[in-house]
Order: sequence, then C-alpha cells, then structure tokens
Amino acid sequence: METILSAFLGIAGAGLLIGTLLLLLQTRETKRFAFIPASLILGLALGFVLSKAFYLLGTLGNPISIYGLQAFWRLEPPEFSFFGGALGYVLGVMLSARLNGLNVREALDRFALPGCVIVAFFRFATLYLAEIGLGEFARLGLPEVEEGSALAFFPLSVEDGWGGWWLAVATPEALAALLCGLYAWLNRQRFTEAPGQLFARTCVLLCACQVFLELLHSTSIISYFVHAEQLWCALYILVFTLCAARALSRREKGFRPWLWPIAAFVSIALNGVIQFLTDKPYGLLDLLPEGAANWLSENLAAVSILLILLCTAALAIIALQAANRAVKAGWMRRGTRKPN
Amino acid sequence: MMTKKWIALLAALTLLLGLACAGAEGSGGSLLDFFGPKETEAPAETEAVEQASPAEAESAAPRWPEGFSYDFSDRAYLLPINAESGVKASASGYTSATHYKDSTIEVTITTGSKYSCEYWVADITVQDPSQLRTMAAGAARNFAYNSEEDALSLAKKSNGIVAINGDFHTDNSRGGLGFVIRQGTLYLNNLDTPGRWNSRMADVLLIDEDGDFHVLHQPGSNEVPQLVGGKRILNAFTFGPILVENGELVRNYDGSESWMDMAEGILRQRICICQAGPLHYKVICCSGPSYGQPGMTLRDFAKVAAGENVQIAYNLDGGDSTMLYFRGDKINGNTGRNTLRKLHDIIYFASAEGKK
Repeated sequence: METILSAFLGIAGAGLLIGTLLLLLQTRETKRFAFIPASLILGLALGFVLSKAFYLLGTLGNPISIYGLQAFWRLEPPEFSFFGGALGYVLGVMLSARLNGLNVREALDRFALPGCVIVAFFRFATLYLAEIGLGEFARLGLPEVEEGSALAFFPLSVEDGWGGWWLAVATPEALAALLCGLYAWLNRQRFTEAPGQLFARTCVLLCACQVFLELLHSTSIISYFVHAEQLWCALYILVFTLCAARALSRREKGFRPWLWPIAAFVSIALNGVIQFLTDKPYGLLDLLPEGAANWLSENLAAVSILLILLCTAALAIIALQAANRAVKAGWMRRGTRKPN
Repeated sequence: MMTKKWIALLAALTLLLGLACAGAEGSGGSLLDFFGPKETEAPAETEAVEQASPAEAESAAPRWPEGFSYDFSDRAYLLPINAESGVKASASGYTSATHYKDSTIEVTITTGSKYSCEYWVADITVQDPSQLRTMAAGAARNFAYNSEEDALSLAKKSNGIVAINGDFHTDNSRGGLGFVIRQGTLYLNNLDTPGRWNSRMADVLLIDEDGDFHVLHQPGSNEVPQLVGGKRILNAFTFGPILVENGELVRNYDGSESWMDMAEGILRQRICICQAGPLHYKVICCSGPSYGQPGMTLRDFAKVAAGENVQIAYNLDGGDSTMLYFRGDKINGNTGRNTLRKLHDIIYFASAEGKK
C-alpha cells in the first residue's frame, strides 16, 4: 500500500474547508471574523505539535532513541496520533476564541458540528496513507475477503498490492464522526443555558466510537498490548464523568453521585479484560463445558467484538446520563461559573 | 484583545512550524516536499549501494545510511528478495501429515518429549537461500510499521511451507533498540552502547546471502558489519540469546535479562531457529502452560536444541506468540482451540517450485 499524498491532502483539505465554512456560518452573528482563520492556523499548528507529542508519548519515547530530534518532525504516516491532533486543533480553536474576545465554551459548542465534519474527512483521508486506515475482517469474526466477494468493494474494503483485501476501518470511523456531527446539529439549541455541554458531549460520542473502532486497526500505537488511542479516548470519557459526578455531588450528598464514574471505570476495565481474554482465552475456555468452550473458541472474534461494543455503548450511556443529571443540578450553567 | 503574551505564544508556534518546514530531512521528508507524491515503500531491491571491498567493509566502522538496501541483482536467486510471497505448496507434496517434499524444499516434522514437556522439530532443507524469507504484517508489508495481523492469516499469505513468529522488533518495550534487516533492506539500526549500568544488549542473528547463520554476542552501536564473512546480509534479527554456537551449548546468558525479560528460569513456551548445515535448517519449539503443558526454562530448551545436532540455535520471541505453522495450521500446542494472537512479522520457508 502506498501513500497517495495528493488524495490525502485533497480530502483532508476539503474537510477543513467545509468545517471552516460551517464554523463561519455558526459564528457570523458575532462578527468576530478573525476567529475563523485564527482557528484554522492555530488548530493546524497545535494539531501537528500535539499529534507528534501524543505519538511519542504512546510509543514511550522510543522514536527519539532511534531518530533523535528528527522524531519530532518526521512525516511517516504511522508516526502521528489522531487523538493528539484532534486535541491540538481544539486547543487552537479555544485559543482563537480567547484572542478574539469570544466566550470559549460557546465557541466550542459552535465548533461541535464543524469539528465532527473535519474529523470525518480526515479519518476517511487516512485510507490514502499507506495502511493507516485499514484492518482485518477476521477481527470482526468475518472470513477472509477475496476478489468477487460481496464485501470486496471500496470504500468498505481496500485491495493491497498482493491481492489481499482489507477492511477500510476509516470508512466507519468517518461515518461515526458524521453521526456525531448530526447529534451536535440536532442538539444545538438544547444546551444554550450550559455552554460547553454540547461540545463535551459530542466528544464523548466521538471518543466512544473510537474506543471501539481503534481495535479494528492493523496499525496503531501499542505499548505493552495497550492501544494508546483507545486508552486516551476512554480516559476522556472517564474524566468527563468524574466532572459530572463532582458537579452532582454539590447537590446530592453521599456516595451516590460517584457511582457514575465508578460504573464508567468498570465499563472501561471490562473492555480491557475482554481484550485480554481474547488474546489469552485458554484459562477461560478450560472453565467452560467442552461444547461451550469449542463453540466459543470457534466464534471468539465475533463474541469478543460484540461484548466490547456493548461495553463501549454502556460507557457512553453512563457518561451522558451522568451529564444529564449534573446539568439539572447546575453543571456548567450560566451564572454558576466564573465570568470571562 | 491581544495581549503581549498571546502574541508571543503565536510567534513561538509560528517559529515551531517554520522549523518543522525547514528542518525535516531523511526518510521523513520535509514539509516543503509535502505537496507531491511520496513513496513510503522500502527502497527497490535493485537500488545500487556503494560498497567497499569485502575486507574493507568488514573491518571499517560500518556505514549504514537510513533505508540502506543491498543489491542482489548479481545473484540468480530462485525467489526475488522482496516482500512477495513464496510459491504455493503443491498438494501432492504433502506425503503425510508431517512431511512435505517438492523439488526445492523438504520438511519433516517430528515430536519429542523432554522435561515432561512436548516439543516439535521442523527439519527443513531448501535448494536456494531466497527460500528462507521474512514477511511483515499489514497491507504494506513494511517492517518499519507497527502493524499486527492474525498469525495464521499472515502465515497463509506467505505461502510458506513452514512459518514461525519473528522477533517482534516493533514492540515498544524494547526501547526502540534493535538491528533489523529484512529481505536485504535495513529497517532499524539502533543498538545500545555497552558499558553503562543500564545498557540493554542483545544477541543478533545474521543470515547471509548464502543462507548461512552468523551470530553476534551483544554487539554495540555501529558494531554490526555490512559484510559478514565477506557476504551480504539477507536478514538480521534481534532477540536471542544464542543457545547453541559451533555445535556447542551456550551456557552463559549474562546480560540477556537486561535486554528483555526472557523468563529464563521460568517454564514457558519457547521457539528457536537453527542451522544444521548448508541450506539445512531446524525450527524447534516446545509447548507451554497455555496448552496444559509445563513449558521449559531457557536452559532446558537450549539443551533440547543442542541435542538436535545443530551448529547454531537462536532463541526467538516465545510465550503465546510462539507459532509453528505447517500444512495450513498452527501445529504447536494445538488443542483444537482457536487463537487470535497477532504477530508483527514472521519467518517462513517457501517453495520455489517452478522457478528454476
């Protein structure tokens, strides 16, 4: 698989353009038009820096051992972190809002839909960066795909230079991001009294999708069998839930508000346990009756991916439910936060 | 309103971006080169490399430019030295469940038991050095990428008659250290400096252009020559330790524990690749706790290897990554249970039938 840079840049560029236009439409009534180009420039700059930083963090700094300082600006496709890049872009938007005298949280809410569109286009564009956006059908418990198979078509799958077919993970990732954008669009009026909520919740959904989809990648940042991008996304959701619980605890006394982050943590831990057992199923299989063990062994991939999907969905639901209750209790509401 | 500190921050970011544009070199390329097609495949096998004479290259401090690739165009190998798979096995070549033979390769699988643990030996004879090959996981088959792929799927794609797990060189627990050549192309040249209290030194296996094994005991940075015994290197691995050398059991593994946790004194599944003679190889692997067997310590496993009349035995990544693939399936520890362990790379012995 080769890198087709022109295709990547074209698709990613289109995403940036559409996202920027959407942001312009969302913010035009503020008349702070400098906010738009500043967001783009700062977003790209910080996105690059943090993408590299998170990659080096996820690989425990090993590329620095190999390449020295060059590790910070090498342009090999696998040597970037999507989570870091997205975080950097968001920081760029925040900084731009601050520089242009806009309320940062309101600006982030306006950025929720455009951000999802940018993520979707960038995700899809990774199909043109060597094998970054690819995975195995076997991970879903599906048989090998060959030429002429019902699943052998772009953009669901991609053929490599040796006649093999790969799952185009970037396609469902892009679709998931667009669905998150739809959520942001449909709920744009719902949290006007709690600025920042829409953006934060949209990020919960984006991160939840990635907690699941990251496992399908053949190429990813892995250290000690931990998928770094998956971990960071899960941590974001956990921190979000902790913040919601903290806000809730101001209204509800006792231990009850903290059940939400505990449930979120359990969901994340269960996700990890399932991944571990998928890799080392032998102890579990020995505990089951022979018939059940044989069936599970034959369908291990499909069963594990289904369980992980359920755990991830539960994680997202827990986080959003906690946020619902916290917002009712005054979390992030206007008048309950420090003025700019 | 813009304050001075925000302006300073913007300026710093712009400077950083400018440094990134101007400073990037090497295989990463520069942002100034960004707006154009960029090849990320390994350099073509025919790319000429300036080489000193054999004596000079072997004695001088080796020069290993990034992306270094040997030119084997002067060798009439049966199979090309690149990422292509081998020739598919012929169905008629399988004379039994444990034997394969065609005009270019013969494989015999035997089993044994020692220290209450089952082990397998794959005895392999090939006609040409190019039949001992390596393959990376992933669609690009690029050893520089940290890709992983289902072990059986990877082995099947290789068309290998026998396939085993490689040295897991992309694992981040290795601290980015290693010396890796695959199919004649250098992918990693980052060995540690000896003498420090925390140096991580590993034994290195080199397979030369005639298919002969050479081992280096814990070489330091820039100590691997470009020519070994006057010959170019087809594949190089960093794991170890060396278990058998010159037909003799190696008893001293000092330093190997600082490289990687070999679980030396612990019972585990283990695998090693061996050379018994010219174009004659053996792969030995033992079972382990995951399959209801005790496994072996490293020393006991080395004794098994020494008992197989091999000249060199080199330990590879063990544990649950251990795979001995033959006749379309993983035959080590196979209890009829599925495994989804993924590998980063494999070593395989391919047929070259019809390529003469």
